[in-house]
Amino acid sequence: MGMTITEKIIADHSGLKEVHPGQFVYANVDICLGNDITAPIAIEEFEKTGISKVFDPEKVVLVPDHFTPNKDIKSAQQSKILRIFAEKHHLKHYFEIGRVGIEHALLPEQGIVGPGDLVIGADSHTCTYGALGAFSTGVGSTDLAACFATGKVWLKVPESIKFVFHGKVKNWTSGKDLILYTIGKIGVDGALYKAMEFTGSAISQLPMDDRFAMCNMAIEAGAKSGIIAPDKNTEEYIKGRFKRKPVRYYSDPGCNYVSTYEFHADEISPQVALPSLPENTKPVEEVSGIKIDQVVIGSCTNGRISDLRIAARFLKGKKAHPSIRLIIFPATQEIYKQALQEGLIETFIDAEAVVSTPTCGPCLGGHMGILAEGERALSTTNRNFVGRMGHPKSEIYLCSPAVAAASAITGKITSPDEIIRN
Amino acid sequence: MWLFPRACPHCHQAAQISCVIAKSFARIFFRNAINIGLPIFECPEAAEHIREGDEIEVNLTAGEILNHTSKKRFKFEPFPQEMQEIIQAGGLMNFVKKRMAVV
Repeated sequence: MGMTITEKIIADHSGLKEVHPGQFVYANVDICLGNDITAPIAIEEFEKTGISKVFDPEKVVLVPDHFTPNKDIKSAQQSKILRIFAEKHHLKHYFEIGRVGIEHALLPEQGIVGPGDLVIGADSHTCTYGALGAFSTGVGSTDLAACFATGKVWLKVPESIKFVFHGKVKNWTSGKDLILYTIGKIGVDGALYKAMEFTGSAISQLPMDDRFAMCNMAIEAGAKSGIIAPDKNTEEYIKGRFKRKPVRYYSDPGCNYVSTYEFHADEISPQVALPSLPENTKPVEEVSGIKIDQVVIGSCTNGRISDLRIAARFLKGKKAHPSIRLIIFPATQEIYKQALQEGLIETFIDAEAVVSTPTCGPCLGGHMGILAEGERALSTTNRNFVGRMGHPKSEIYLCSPAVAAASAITGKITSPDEIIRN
Repeated sequence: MWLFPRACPHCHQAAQISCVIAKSFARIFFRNAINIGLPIFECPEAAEHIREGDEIEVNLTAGEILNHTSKKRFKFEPFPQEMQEIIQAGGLMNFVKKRMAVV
């Protein structure tokens, strides 16, 4: 029996020739990650053991991105714990304000993660790195603490589900729309604890930024991980970034999938996930006209340069609707600077958007754009749970940057085709 | 983001439950149970078969549940050596402490 890409990565990291779904392994970790919410707990647990050194100062990554720039005293205290720990252990990858970006955009951009890696992070959207052909999953702070010391994690090998996207994405449909569509089809528990493997001609043609958006939201279908086998787009992306030797894994013909879904990408319109679950998806044309108060473009899902370029195509020479508060937050400093050089930031400011420093803030209702009672946001982020972005009686609609930017102009949910015929 | 709850497995431990056998577990519960040293196994057949008052023996290495009352045996995915040690040490961080002290 052949193995899937996921099984191969886990087997190689566990010193085993073969693994099967359901098997428990004790695996070597290439990179482990914590942020300003999860790392302080891990650091405390680690310190309690009395162990004086982390397993490898180049493989422990700390990214204070959630409540930074620190919004209050509590969050400042949290960040301080990371800062002291990073200094004490000479961590190579600690990102202070001015260098920090949203973790799941930052790590691939900085070449910290790459093809064939096994990555754990104390953050549920750690699954993002699967877009590079890595096995990457979210864990708890205790797992992270143990990994700080040992460089290892115990894992249960997940079953894999194969998603084949035939054809080619059309018009304004993006990776975000493919993943929203998929979650709409299988539900928020449709891939529970499984590895979602995305393949097919539409995926081959998909730019990396779109692939990151897809794998980022694997967790929103309950999955343990999302993964896309490396190809020429992956190679191009990691060139000049990823300094370690990439290991390229591919699923064997005849490997075992617990199920296979086949979709035709050309039949998928831009999607909108209605409140309050990512599975409540509808094609944008079916929900157009719904009035909104705030449009948010950014996050670890859709805060990358190509997302900002798409938004700018709509906003160029236009203004956000007077009733709309438009918040745009580039995911990293590098993306921010690139957007500045390309004139995108000027376009956004001219469109009367506020452009924020890289932070997770608005996405999780942390800071930098909280919703009041009864308000409605249209957002390119990944979760629309009750109260996620603010008041429990506020509502969140999820979409792609194209839908968000088009809707910011009209003040209501709008198909991108209505603004620009692509 | 978010934090993973740890309360539930602690309640089982506080109630002096020595092991839990069930058809399946939520991933977070499973990880947290192992990480605090509470032995926990997925075995649908055993969960179906075992009755209140049965005397049960679990062999971690072999991945076997023996019901002394009914004399039936059930198989589950065995744990690698390190996971057995985590349970024996009383949790992940105790295991880490022991292991790193030896190295």
